[in-house]
Amino acid sequence: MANWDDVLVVQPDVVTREADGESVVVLPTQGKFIVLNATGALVLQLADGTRSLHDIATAVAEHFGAELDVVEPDVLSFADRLMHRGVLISAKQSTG
Amino acid sequence: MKWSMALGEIRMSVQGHPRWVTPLARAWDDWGSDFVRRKWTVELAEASNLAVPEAPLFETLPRCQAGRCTLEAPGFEGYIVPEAHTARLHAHPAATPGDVSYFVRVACALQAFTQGGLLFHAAGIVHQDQGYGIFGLSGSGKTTAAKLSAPDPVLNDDLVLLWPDTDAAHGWRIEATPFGKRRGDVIRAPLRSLLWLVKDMEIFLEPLSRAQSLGELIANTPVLSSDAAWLPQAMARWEDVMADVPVYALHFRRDVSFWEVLDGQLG
Repeated sequence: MANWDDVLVVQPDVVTREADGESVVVLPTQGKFIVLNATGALVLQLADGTRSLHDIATAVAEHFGAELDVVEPDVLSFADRLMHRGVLISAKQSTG
Repeated sequence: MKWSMALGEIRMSVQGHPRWVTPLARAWDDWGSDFVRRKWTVELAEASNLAVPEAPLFETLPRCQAGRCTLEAPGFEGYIVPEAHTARLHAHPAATPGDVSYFVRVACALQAFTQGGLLFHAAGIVHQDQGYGIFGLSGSGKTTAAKLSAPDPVLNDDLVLLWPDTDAAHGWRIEATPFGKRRGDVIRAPLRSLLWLVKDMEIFLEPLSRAQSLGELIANTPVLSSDAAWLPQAMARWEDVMADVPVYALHFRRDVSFWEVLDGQLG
């Protein structure tokens, strides 16, 4: 389960590409892909190994002019799903 | 034994023990050729020192790094170097023609890609002189669609090649391969549309977003889809295709009337 202070990063083998505001996220080792909407793509872009999930939720709320209280649970749940699917990993795990 | 084939833009010679090469030459006889320009060489070497194969080679995905792709599994050590136009498979004598065929298909996928094309996991059907690439999940109905389309020519019911159409200002062509079942003598056609099959009770065409199209197309791109090293280029290649060729979801009920829907909407 993801936590607010988790710092996440995209798994190195994952390949992403933007297409008309959405993002295609391909997981070559699993032979799978997912499509993210603009909000999901922004979360993925912000998960660069320097920001906590709280920082990301704050940035997303500012970007869309939304209330942080509304955004936070969605970001946490979304990050959790992406971790479960192997798209996001802990930055600590990434650096070994 | 040495045997050469011409497959679209692909020129490849396969050499090795007749036990492996002869079945390929027989099965792919229509593609046999003496033409040797831009040829790749696939060498098949017996290696008794390797372990007995535990599984078919097709269960092994190639791994690519720094321009070299390797396939390694008990009984097999293979590498492909696209830039050098070279592929070599060391295999235990118990390896089957099916294992060898898979290795050649991987080499073909890489050769096609390095020459501007794509090997595509799809049924290729020619309808009213236009080519359609029908793709989808395993069991989605590619083979059924091919069978239902008789007497339209089927380029292949499983794997086809796409190439930029050099005879036209823009566009792509779809070409036959020996890697599945064919019907008729047609070997290529201008590519009219790519159709992602969705099982349904009704038949209709539905636009796909560019991102969804790209994901589905990449997922049906053998070899390249499984390796992060090739993926960015492969996605860019598919974007080139999508710039010229429309991609739709074809909601598909298992009867031939889907062609009436396609004719009505695509013309």
